[in-house]
Amino acid sequence: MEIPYSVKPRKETGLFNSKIGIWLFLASEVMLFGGLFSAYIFLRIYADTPWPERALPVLPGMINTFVLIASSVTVIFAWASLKLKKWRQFQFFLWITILFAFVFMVLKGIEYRTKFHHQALRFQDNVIIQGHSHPIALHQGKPTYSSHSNKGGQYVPANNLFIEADKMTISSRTFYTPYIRHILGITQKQDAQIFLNNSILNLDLLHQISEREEEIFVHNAKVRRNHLKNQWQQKKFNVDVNQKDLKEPTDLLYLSVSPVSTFHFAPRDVKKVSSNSITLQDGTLLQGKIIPSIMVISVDEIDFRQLALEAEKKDVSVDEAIESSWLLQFPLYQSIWQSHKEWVADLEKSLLTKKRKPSFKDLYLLKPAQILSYLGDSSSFTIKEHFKGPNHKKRKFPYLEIPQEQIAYESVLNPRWSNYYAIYFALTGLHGLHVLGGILVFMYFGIFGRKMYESQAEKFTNGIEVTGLFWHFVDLVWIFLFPVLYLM
Amino acid sequence: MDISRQSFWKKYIFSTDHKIIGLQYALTAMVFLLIGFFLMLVMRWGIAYPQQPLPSWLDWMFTDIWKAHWLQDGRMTGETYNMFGAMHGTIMVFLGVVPLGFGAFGNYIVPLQIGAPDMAFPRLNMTSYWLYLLGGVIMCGSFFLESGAAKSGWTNYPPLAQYADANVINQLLSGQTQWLIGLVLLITSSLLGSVNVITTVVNLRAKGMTWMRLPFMVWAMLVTAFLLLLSFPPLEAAGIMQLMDRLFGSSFFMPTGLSVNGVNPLEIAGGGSPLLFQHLFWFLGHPEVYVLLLPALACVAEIIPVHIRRPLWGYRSMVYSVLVLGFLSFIVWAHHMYLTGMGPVVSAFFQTTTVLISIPSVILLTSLLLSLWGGSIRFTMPMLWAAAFIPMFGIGGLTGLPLAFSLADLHLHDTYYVIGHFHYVVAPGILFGLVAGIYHWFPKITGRHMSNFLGHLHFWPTLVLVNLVFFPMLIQGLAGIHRRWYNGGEAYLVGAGDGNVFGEIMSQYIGLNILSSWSAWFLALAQVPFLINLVLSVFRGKKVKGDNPWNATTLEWSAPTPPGHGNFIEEPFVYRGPYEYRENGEDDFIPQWKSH
Repeated sequence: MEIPYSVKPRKETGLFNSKIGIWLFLASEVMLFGGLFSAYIFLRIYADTPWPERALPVLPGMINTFVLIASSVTVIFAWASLKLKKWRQFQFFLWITILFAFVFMVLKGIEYRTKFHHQALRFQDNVIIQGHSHPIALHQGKPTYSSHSNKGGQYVPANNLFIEADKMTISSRTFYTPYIRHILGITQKQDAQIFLNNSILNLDLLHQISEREEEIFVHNAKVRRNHLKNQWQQKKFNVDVNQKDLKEPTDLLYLSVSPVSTFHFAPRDVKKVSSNSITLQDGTLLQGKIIPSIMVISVDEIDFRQLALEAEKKDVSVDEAIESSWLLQFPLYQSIWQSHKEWVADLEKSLLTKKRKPSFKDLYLLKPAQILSYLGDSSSFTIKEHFKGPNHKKRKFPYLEIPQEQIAYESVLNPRWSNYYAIYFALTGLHGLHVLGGILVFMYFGIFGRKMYESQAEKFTNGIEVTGLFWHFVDLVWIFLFPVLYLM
Repeated sequence: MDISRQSFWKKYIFSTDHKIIGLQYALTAMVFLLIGFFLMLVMRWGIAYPQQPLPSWLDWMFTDIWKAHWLQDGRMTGETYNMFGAMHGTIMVFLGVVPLGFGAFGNYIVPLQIGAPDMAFPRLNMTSYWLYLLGGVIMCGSFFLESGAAKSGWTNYPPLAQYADANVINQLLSGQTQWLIGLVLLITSSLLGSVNVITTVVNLRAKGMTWMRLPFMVWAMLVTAFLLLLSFPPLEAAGIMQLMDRLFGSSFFMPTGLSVNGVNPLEIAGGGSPLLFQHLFWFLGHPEVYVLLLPALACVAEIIPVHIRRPLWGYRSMVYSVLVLGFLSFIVWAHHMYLTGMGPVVSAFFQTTTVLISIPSVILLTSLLLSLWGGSIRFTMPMLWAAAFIPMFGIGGLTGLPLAFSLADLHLHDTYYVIGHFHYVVAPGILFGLVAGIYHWFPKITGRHMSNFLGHLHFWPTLVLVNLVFFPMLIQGLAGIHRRWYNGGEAYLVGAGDGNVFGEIMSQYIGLNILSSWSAWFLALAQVPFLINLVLSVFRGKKVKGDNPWNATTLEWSAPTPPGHGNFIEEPFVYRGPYEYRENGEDDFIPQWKSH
């Protein structure tokens, strides 16, 4: 027996199976995105830091909106062409739809890439800056800024921690191989060796030791377990395990580095830093001289809002708090702040006629265009900059060298930086996956569709209709996403 | 397509036949149920005898390496207890009971009962099963990782869940992360399954099968499918967000400035809310209770009319009740969260809806009970289990009432009372119903009867022992004993004797731990006859005479035994309602497919 109503609709319901299926699927999708949108509302209402408003480039988002709407129209044309039995016209509209979907994904990709290359940083005093961070090079054992043009030398990612170590301790049971590989790589570059007693350390040796240690651990546990079981059976509870039965473990391996080398680690790999040692997440300990590290950022946004809120909470004058912040000890930033205050005063005057006041954001958030104009660069942004953000190579944003101890929190604009970016990536990422799914299905129909169309034209048309419904849903989600994330 | 020519793989492993998929679901779910049960048996040792090393009849499944890592000199440790507890809950709910109830019975019985040749989307059906298996294997596979499996409860509340396994450097290979990945796969699987069931019921009913002629099981499965379809996705959203928290360092569920013992081990931005996760979780979590319950209730509702030779009492009111129940189950979720400080207004709303939902539940149970009145009850194996379901589920339901009120819940929250309550619902309630279903449909599935002797050997000890396991928990809970003490509360005995009230209470009630534990271990033994029965009866059971051994009225009994691919030999036509039994006589029933 064939499964009924897989092509022709059932009379009572007026629907064929896959159409019911897709509507149900979409209902569940509504709940999925509903959950995420609720999370967005919840997070925004209960946010304890200023929520970034209109932080994303509107132009690409707007283009994407129209591209998706247009693709929803073309997919209907494709379906209608099939109904009219015009295969070539169908192919045309289908591929136009796919093209639109690709345009959407490319614009999205550019947007993501820009975010992943944009550094944000919160100082200990709650001033927040954004900009581009620049790689660091080691010069005579000192981390220094190296400009874009100056390639060569030993580059290290920004904000790494440095230690000039001569001694090292590795836990033979918990060490994490990628860390050891990283350490061995650095010694190799600096022509140094790590010695365990008198033999040179390598990964094979380490793995051998760790296997032996694991065996000893298991053996000892077994001895103690059997001993305890016997005691319970004999109802005696105070006899210790015979030490002779246990094997002696050597958990920690004490190593020396020769000659002394400079190691660098990303902050996320470091568990603890003391005055003369660094402990990695796996318990590996490096001892020697800590080299103070720096971060170099060309600043394109300065945000005093969180500092202002904290100051208000403590009943301190906001202006005083800003002027005594670490950033404003530099004359350049003082002059920027002075120019901003003048700009605010002008704004206040112009708003007075409309009986309005400058917003909190106007007062304490310095956007890229403002910073540039305070520094004398008042040319407007190019189209490219509307997509990718201000061009740090051409425009003269002020450079800032930040010592490690001033940094409270830093991240590129990825989900780690703030809940806004987290929910932005969650929503748009999931939406992007849906677009990708649509592209795959459309391409399948486009490439392998001819045969299906010739044998079962009606079923094929149904397939396009159902995928089209899905596509409309994907479009609809974006129509909600765009205002919520880009405009509000 | 000629089914008999298909290879073994196509026919039994990658099958698109709803019956084979249903059986795959049933067997896999039973394996998971056994795993979950075994975890609990080990935990019960730690509760009853915290100082004593595990005996060899409990630790035989651990390798020496596991014993070294997860036991402390052979004793149960807190960490291992947490891990086993989290996985026990997860396995039982997501991998055991739901797949057995909805996956197995929904797949096998529903298309047969509505007279359909198969599910509407057979290939999606297969995908659904394989995603379920993959999710289950990923979740349970995390036992083999260095970090062990997930260890923060089946609810996986952050920030606890966030701190668990936080020291694992490669987060992708931590038990917590694997749990979340498995969960997302399971949700996708249940999404496909529910779309399939709804479409099948809506579009594939046989001619003459009008809505009010549907057997109650079909209605129950339809509502279950809607619950799965609409309540699971918010948890998927929560799962994705928690995965992002773990893998990409976001802080959806982590508030600002949170620290443990004065230090904050995770370097994150903060600003999130643990309460958000709880809302998203329980938005699934409560409908999930009905996802567990409805298939079992449906089995009982199908079994009772057949074995008492009398129509189901109040079929229509049962159908309306189950629909109302389905709707209400979406707006009661926060009664799991009275203690989170939501405020009295919100609590009052959820108390009201929670009390409201007891109305349809009581109508359903009362209808089943009233059906028995005046019937000629035949205590066959399925009927025994179905009959036991009613009082046992009744205890489960009634003990839930005090938990519905926020004031009483202040005292009872997170005590053994809650454990006792929901285990009464799930173990002697839902599982009894599902076991009844297995005994009932076994003859149709295999063409052979299950052994009555082994059946009784299974039923009576189980009935007694299950009560001995869970009733002491209600008593302990009322005394205030907390549900997550890995040593059964032994640490609090220290205060006993010097006027410490809590120590005194502990010393009075701690003995019940031992009763519960021994009952649980014997309960495991009592399942052995069932397993033997299942396997033996497939090959040695008494052969079924005719296609309708129980003289039942619903459509599945008109199909050949066992039903072949495509189910029915000729297209079925339905003439009447599902439960037309007459008083007395040899011919005391008119099946749905008979015109006169």
